[in-house]
Amino acid sequence: MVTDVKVPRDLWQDDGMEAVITNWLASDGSNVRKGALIAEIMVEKSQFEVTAPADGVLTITKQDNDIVRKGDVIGTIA
Amino acid sequence: MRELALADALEWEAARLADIAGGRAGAAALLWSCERALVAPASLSRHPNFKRAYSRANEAGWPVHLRATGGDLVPQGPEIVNLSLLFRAPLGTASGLEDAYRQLTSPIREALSQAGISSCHGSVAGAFCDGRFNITVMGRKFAGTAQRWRPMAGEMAVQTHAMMLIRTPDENTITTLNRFYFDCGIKRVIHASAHVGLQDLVQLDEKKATQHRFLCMIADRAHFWSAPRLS
Repeated sequence: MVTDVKVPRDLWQDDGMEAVITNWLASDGSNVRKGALIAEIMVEKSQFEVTAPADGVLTITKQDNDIVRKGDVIGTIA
Repeated sequence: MRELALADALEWEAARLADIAGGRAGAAALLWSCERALVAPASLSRHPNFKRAYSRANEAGWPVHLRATGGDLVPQGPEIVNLSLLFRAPLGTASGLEDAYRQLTSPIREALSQAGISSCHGSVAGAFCDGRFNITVMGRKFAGTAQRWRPMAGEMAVQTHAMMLIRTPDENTITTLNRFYFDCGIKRVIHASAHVGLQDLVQLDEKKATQHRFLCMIADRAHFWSAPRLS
């Protein structure tokens, strides 16, 4: 089963507002545990911690400094 | 208001965020100032020329610290007062970020209003660490704001921070910020005229009294707001 790692949809109002991935704290292909901090994104001078939604092997699909929006998939865990 | 070493203030913020995320506390507040330094978001430390800029600033008497909240490079020092507010926010409101900024800036704007100073939110071209939720007075930046959000069970733990200018930054401070960007190879120029300090907004003979009332009011609001509530 593959679980998407998504930018949360419910943290800010403006659907068009861009965020940036400031840091991946887990590397591509690594094993991660559900709830572990794996990435950080920044929007409006606010740093959001992204945690793993499942146990498994992480595949990163958006890189550091990539621009993302609410609901975007930035990686998967299988 | 507490005078702290900057490292201790940053450690206090990190510890309280961990307490809230871990369910050991519901809210926390601190009004503080610290020694002269530069503070950069941790993301800036991954810039290829950061080490060079870090070393040169340190040699010039501006030690550089890293913080957990977002944003950009800011100065710290005795002429700046910081308000740190930490709390829980519900999931699913779709306006969490904006609400948290309003919660943080509300006591500051009320205290300004009590001093007869009208303020609003907005970006200011040429200001350091510019953002939409600056507190501005007469189109100049009076306070900057930033946040960090950490998921917890069914909620979010939120760290918010505002830095207020008691004095308008001097040319040495602005030159230091611009030198840091230059050494990093970042094309950004900060202008002193984009900022305004509280002491430039009040009558000469009222400066000390106004500053005292202003900070007392914010401290009272922050203390009341972060105190445990009886249900």
